[in-house]
Order: sequence, then structure tokens, then C-alpha cells
Amino acid sequence: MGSVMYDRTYRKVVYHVTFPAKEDWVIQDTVFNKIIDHKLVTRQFIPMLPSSTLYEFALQNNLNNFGLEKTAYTIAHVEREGTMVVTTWTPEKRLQKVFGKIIVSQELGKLKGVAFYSPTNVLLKKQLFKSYLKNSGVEFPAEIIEILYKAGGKETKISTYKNLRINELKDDALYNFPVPVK
Amino acid sequence: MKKVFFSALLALTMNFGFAAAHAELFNVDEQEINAEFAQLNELEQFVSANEGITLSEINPSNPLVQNVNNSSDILGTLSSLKGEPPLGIPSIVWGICCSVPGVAIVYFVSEDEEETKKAVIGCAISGAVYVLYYVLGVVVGGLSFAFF
Repeated sequence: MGSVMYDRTYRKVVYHVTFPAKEDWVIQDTVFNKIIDHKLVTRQFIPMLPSSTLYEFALQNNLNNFGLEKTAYTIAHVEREGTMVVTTWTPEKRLQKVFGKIIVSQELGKLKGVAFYSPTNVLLKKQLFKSYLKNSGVEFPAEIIEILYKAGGKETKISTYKNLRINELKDDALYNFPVPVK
Repeated sequence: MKKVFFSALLALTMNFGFAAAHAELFNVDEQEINAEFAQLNELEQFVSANEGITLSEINPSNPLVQNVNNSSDILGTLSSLKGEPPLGIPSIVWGICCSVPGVAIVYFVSEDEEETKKAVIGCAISGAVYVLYYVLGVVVGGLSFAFF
């Protein structure tokens, strides 16, 4: 539990965690930093950039297609299913040995779900987005259910969000939270 | 005519099958999830009512924290991939396609010696192929040049 902050200027995703323990997490470039009592305790590579997170997509207003428009993925197939529009995105040919297709579903113009596949068409992970929050024209899901499919079974993770604030002019130090030197 | 009708019927059936698969793909069993997360929801309510409390400050005998582990880690999803190749892609492919960065990704994400070895082998294969390609290129290119 806690708060998460993202400022496009700083390109940092900052988590101020209060439970289970008080700690701060800062993701910058592809580095995850865990800070406890203003001391850096963990510094680790992660294959994720702040500019490719849901926070950035929401601010750019392209969350509804999961930010895939400006990537190496292109639309391979679109179909309507009741109120749902399902789009299949496939990676560029040169990446097809490494990355599989991504299926994105939208309902009433909002992102409803994303499913990630391996190059051999095995479902790896899916994310479902529910009950959108809205503030200053920016929408963000209030609940994200993530199901990860592993060899030993599936793992479920739920993230819930509330109190969405956009363009806050205060708390700059919290958005640009400094990472201490280890 | 029968053939056309049959083909249309088959296509329609396949489309329904495809559509049904998507409906199922983007739905979850809410009851199952609620049951799975019931204890965590109760714990969340307890924490909200006791602002600022941490897990270590809750009495371990409290039933709300029975079977609860502190994995307050954004890498939770990634760490759950320990021992498995990143994104389900074989480690050797990471090594072949992404070379040294591919090995690094496998090393940090899987945290598994065997998977890292496979990525290193992949990296070595791509290196060997590159060297071979280069050597052949020089030999063939050299000979070709000599013909002019």
C-alpha cells in the first residue's frame, strides 16, 4: 500500500510504500532502486522503462491501445465482438523469434484487457483493467488484475488505485525523489 | 452452391469459435479471485483503519497475517520468474538474438545458473557464426576482388 507518482519530465516512477514496510522505490531508465530511511538498499536491473508504463500511456492518452502504436508492433487483425473490439498486434518480422503476438481488447473506447503470447503462441500473461478513474481528462483503471501463467500454475496479482491527481504543482520533491548513492 | 454455403458456414463457425475464445480470454472468475484474496482484503481494511502500521508491528498471532509473507517488491512478478527464462523465451534464443545484453537479461530475471549458461551458449553461437561469416566474407570477398 502507498502512493505512486510519475512525472514525464523526470521519467521516474516513484512508489512511496507504507505497507508491509515503509520504503521508497524509484524506477529510472532500466534500474530499480529500493530506498529505506533515505539509504539505498537495492539497485537492480529490470527490463522496463518508465516511458513504457501505464502511467506514461495514460498521460499520452494512448492507454486504450496499450501504447503499442509507436512500437515495433503492427495491427494484424481487428474484430468486433459485441461491445468489445479485439485487436491482434504482431511484432516486426525480425523480432518474431523473440516476441509473440499481443491481443488488446477495448470496450466503449477504454482498454479492457491485454494478453501476451510467446513466439510459439503460448499465453504468458494477461492483464484486465476495470472501473476507470478520471481526472482532468486523464483516465486510469481503478483495478488491474494480472494473471501470470507459469509452468507450475498461474499467479494472480491485483493492483487497486484511487485518488488520481493530475498536474499537481506541489510535492515536486516526491515526484523527483532522489536516489542516494550506495 | 453447396460448396459455397458449406464454406460460409465453416467460416462462420470458426469466427464464433474465435470470438468465444476472446470473450473467455478477457474474463476472469470473480468469485475465485475474491475467495483467493479474501484474507488480503481484510488485512487491507485493517491497515487502512490503523494508518502507518507496518507488517512487523502487527502481532504475528493475529489471524490476518497468518500465511502472509512480506514480498513488498515491485520485482514480485519478475522474481516469480526465477528459474524460468524471461518472457517464456528460451534462454539460448536471448543469447543468440541479443548477445551480451540478452545474457544479462536472463541472468538478472531468471537468477538461474542453468538458464544463464544456455544464454551464454546462445551468445557464443551467434559470435561464432559472426566470426565464420566474417572470415568467409574476407576470403570470398578477397577472391572476388582478385578477379577484377
